[in-house]
Amino acid sequence: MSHVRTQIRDAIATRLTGLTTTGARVYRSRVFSLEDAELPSLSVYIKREEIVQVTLGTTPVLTRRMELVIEAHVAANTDLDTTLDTICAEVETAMEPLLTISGVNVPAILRTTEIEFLSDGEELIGLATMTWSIDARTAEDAPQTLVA
Amino acid sequence: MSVESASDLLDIIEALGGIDAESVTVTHAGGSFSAIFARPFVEVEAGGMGVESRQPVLVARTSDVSALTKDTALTVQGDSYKLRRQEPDGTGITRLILRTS
Repeated sequence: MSHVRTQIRDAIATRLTGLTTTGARVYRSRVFSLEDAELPSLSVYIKREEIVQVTLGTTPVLTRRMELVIEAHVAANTDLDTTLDTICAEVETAMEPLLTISGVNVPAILRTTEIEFLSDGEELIGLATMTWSIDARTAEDAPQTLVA
Repeated sequence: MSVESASDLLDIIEALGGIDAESVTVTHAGGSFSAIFARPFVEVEAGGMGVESRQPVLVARTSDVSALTKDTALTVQGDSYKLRRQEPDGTGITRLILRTS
């Protein structure tokens, strides 16, 4: 079984697949650059994790607060901000129902959204970076298994 | 100081071309001018991802393009662009940075 980070990232990418504006163009921890035909798109990463040991004993439990980033990329010369806002609305709506993995609730809270416009190419590129806080718990010796 | 005459510059612009750049005639509402056109690949850093794009550029005589203003509509090889900015080099040649319109 994969690490809980992978399970959470995959579950969220699956949940975001098929949204009206971005469709199937949802990428997980992708390395290679995006081409024109792959836009507008969503990219999903877990960039950081803060871990606190909350119980002592033979099997300590770790609380993991993950920083999940969903980036929306759009290339267009008009209505970039409106398109990014539309994508953000679709993502926020898709993320609203409580995420449950293997019967364990995994709360996700939107913390920040940053909008940027980049003008280095022949089309303007719009970027919306949505940062979510996700709380999960595992036993110290079983990072693949979520615990309630 | 420029060593070529305006006529020399035009000859150079019209003669140059090749794999990465072509000699073209650019049209706009006020007329036309000769230029070298290139559209090299660029990768734009956008968050955690790079986004592939092109950067259309014209090189022309400054005297032919100095009156053009930002967002002037230009037609190059049948494609529509808008002028994003001018970069005169001080020797009578100007690079025009374009975007698609």
